[in-house]
Amino acid sequence: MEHAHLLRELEAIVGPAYVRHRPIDLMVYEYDGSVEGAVELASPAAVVLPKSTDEVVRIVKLAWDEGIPVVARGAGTGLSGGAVAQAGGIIIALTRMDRVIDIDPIDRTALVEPGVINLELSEAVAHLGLFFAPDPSSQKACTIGGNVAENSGGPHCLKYGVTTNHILGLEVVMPDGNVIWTGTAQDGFSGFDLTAAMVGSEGMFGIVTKVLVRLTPKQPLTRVMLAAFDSMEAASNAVTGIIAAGNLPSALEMVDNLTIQAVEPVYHAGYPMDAAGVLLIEVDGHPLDVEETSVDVESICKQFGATTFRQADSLVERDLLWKGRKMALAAMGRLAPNYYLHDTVVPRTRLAETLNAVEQISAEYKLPIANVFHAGDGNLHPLMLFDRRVSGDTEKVLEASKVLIQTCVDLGGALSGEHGIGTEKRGYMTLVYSDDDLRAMAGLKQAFDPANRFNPEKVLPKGFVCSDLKALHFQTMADQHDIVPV
Amino acid sequence: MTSSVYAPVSVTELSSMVRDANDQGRSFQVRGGGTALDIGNASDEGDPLDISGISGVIDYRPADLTISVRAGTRMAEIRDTLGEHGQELPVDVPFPAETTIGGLMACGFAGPRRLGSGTLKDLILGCEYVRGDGLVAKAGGQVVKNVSGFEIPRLLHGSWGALAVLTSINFKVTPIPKAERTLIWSIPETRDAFAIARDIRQGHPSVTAIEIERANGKQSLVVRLMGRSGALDLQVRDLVDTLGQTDAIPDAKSSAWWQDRNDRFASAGGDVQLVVRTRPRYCGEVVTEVGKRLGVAARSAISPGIGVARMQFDADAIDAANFWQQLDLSSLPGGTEAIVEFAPEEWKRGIDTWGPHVPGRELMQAVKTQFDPKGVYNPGRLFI
Repeated sequence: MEHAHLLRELEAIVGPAYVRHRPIDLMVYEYDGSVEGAVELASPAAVVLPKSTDEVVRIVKLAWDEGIPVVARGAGTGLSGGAVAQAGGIIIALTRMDRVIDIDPIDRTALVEPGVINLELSEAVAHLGLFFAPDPSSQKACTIGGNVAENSGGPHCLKYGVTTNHILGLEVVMPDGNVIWTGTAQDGFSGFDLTAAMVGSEGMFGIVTKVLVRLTPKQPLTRVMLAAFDSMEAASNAVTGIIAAGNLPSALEMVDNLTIQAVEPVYHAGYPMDAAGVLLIEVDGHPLDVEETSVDVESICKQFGATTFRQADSLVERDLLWKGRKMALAAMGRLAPNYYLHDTVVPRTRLAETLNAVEQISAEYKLPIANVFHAGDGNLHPLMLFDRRVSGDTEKVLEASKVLIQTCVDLGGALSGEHGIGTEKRGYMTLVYSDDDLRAMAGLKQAFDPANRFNPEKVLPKGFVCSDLKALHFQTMADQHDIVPV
Repeated sequence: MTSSVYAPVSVTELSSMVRDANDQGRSFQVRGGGTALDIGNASDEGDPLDISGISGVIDYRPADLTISVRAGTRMAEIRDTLGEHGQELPVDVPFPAETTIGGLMACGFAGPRRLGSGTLKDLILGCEYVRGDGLVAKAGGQVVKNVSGFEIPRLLHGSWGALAVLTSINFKVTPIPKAERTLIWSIPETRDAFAIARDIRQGHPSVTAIEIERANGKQSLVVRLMGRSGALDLQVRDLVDTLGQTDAIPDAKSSAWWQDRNDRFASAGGDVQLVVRTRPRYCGEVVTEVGKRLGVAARSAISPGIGVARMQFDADAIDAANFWQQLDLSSLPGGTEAIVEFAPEEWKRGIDTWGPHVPGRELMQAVKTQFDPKGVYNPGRLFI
C-alpha cells in the first residue's frame, strides 16, 4: 500500500489528529529509554494513537491485510529497545487508552486500560488502603501495558513479586485482529495459562487492551532503615545475612560510594559521604512484626560491620531516605553526560564476588561504574558512565558490557532481571540458552503470531523466527559491534 | 490388551521414549505420584508414562532461598529438605508423601493458603521440559528475578502435562513463618458466614487462609494466621473479641488441620466433586445457587477470599447428562467457571468434566500444536 493511502486509512480509523507521520513527529518513536548505541533505531511509517479496543482492532486488521509489522508502545520508558519502531511499520501508541474502568475494593482488583500510568493507578486506589505493587523506577511515567509487556519489577518486588504476580487476566488483540480474554490457570480452570505467557512477551504475542490487576493492601506500618558500610563486600554479606535469617523486607536496596557522591550533594538524603556502600532496608507489616524485624536487621547489620544505622518511620523521613535511591539515575548527569544501565541478576550469595568483578572491569576499561540496585533480589544495575562525544567511548562501553554480562552469566546469573531483552540483549540470548531452548521459545511466538507481525525483530536472536516481512532490513547493535558469541 | 508401562529414570531416556512415540503415532498418559489421575475426562488412549523415577533435589541454596528439583520428587522430600533450614514452598499440597512437585505444578493446584501466600506459579524461576516431539529445552533460570525470554515455565503451570513433561523445576522458597494460629468458629446457617469472612479479610490483611466448611447442616468458619507470635496474639484477641470464643485448635496442630482439609478434598470417595471459581464478592451467592440448582445437599470447602469452592455431592442423586444445563453457569454472576474434579468412572463418561466453555480454545490449540504436534501427551483427558 502506498504511504499516503495508508495514512488516509489510518486517519479514517482514529481521526487525523491521532496519526503521526511527519519525520519530525516520528523521531521520538525511534527511541525508548535505552542508551543510544545499544539498540538499533528505526523509523516507523506512521504512529497511531487509538482510543479504544475497537480502533486497535481496525488498525491491526489493516496492518494484517497489508502485511505491515506492528509495534505496540506505552510511555517509551523501556530500557532494552522493545518499543522501538520496526522500519516501515506502524506503531500503536496506547497512551490515550488511559481509563481506570473499574475498581473493586472487596475483591482487590482493578480493570484498567493499558495506557494508565503505573503510579496513577496506585494513587487512584490509595484512599481504599490499596496499591498496585510493581513499582519500576519509571513509575511516574511508565504505563501498565508496558509493565505487562516487560514483566516489570521495582524495589518492592522482593516481597510483593513482579508484574506477572499481579495480573489476573488480559484482553488481547491478536495479530489477525481477533480479540480474546486470557485467564489464569488454576485447578484446571481457564485451560492453559495464556495470561502467564502474555506477561513479559515484549509485545510479540498480542496487543493488550485491558488489564485485570490485583491490588495489594497497604500494611499498617512501614519503616525504612539505613545502614552504611566500609566496603561493598560487608554490605553484600549483610544482605545475605538479613535474608538468610528469615526476614523478608519489602525492599532491600544498595547504593555505592560513586552514587552517593552524585546524589548526596543535591538531594541531601543523609547518606554518609565516606561510606563505601549504603543499604536501604524497608520493612512493613503489623507494628509488632516491624519492630521485631527491625531489631533483627539492626543486629545483623552491626554484626557485618555497619558504621551507621538509622531508622525512619514518618513519611517525610522515609521519602528523604528513598529520594537518594530514586533520584540516583537523574543525578548521574553530575558525573558524566551518558550512562549505560545494566540489569543482570546473580544469585544473592554471589553479590560480593560480582561487585568485585564489576570493579575490575571498571579499572580495566578505565570506565567509572556506579552501582545502585535491588540487592535483595541479586538484581544489579551497574551504570557505566561515559561521554559519547568522546571518540571510542561508546565502543569501550559496549565492549565492557559484553565482559560484564558474560561474568554475571558465569556466576549463574540471568541477562535481565526486569528490563527485558528487546533488541539490546538479543545477541546475548545464546549465552544462556541452547538452540533447542530458543527453538521452543520461537514455537510459542509462532503459536501466537504465525505470520510474525507483532514486534518481529525482538528478543529471539536472528534466525529463530521465520519472517515474511521481506522488505525489512534490520541489524542489531550486537551484529554491528560483533559481540555475538560464536 | 494390557498397556506397557514406561518409567524413565533420566531425561535422555524420557526424551527418546517420547520421540519414538511421536514417530510411531503412540501416546502417553503422564503421571507423577498418581494422586490426581482421577481428574479429567475418562480416556482409554495412551500408555502410562511414569515420571516419578526422575527424582531428587538437584541444587538447594538456603542462603539464596532457591531450590532446583527433579520433577518426580515427592513433596514430602522437598518439605523435609527445606524444613531443615527453616524454609518451605508456601503452598497447600494434598497427599505430600505421594504427590510429586511436577504433578503439583502441572495440575496448577491451589488450596486455601493461596489467599495469603499465592500459588506455586508465583514461585517458579525456571524449568527444563520435554516437548511432545521429544525436544528437551529449558527456560528461565535459578535467580529470583528473570525476564530473559518468554515465560514458558509459568505457561506450563496448570497445563496438565498437555504441552510438555516437566523434568526439573527451579523455585524461590520462603522462610517458614515463625508462628501460626488456626481459629475455628461454628456459625449458625442463618448467619452469613461470607460477610463475616469478608470483614475478617478487610480488617486483617495478613490472614493466610479463610475457609467456610459446610456439611450435614452445620457451618464452620476457619481462619489461619501466620507470622510472628506477638502480632498473631494481638490479632487472635481481636478476632475473639469480635466473633466470640473459638473451638480451639492447639497451635501445634494448626498445620495438621489444614493438611487434613487438603486431603479430604483431594478425592471424593465415589461422590462427585465440583470445583467452582467466581469473583470473591459473589462467592456466597454462587455457592448457594449451585446447591439450589443441583437440588442435592453438598459437603463443601469454600475459600471465600479467593472465590473457590469445592462441593461434594452424592453421584446417584445427579444426572451427568444434564449436569451442565442444570448448572447453567453463564447465568451466574462474576464469570463463574466450574469443573468436575472427581466422579465415579461411569458418571464421568457422560460428561466433559472441564465444563461447557473454555475461552481462547483456538489459541490454546495453536500452542498445543507447537509443543505437542501429534498429541503424544494425555489424549482424551483434557480440555484440548
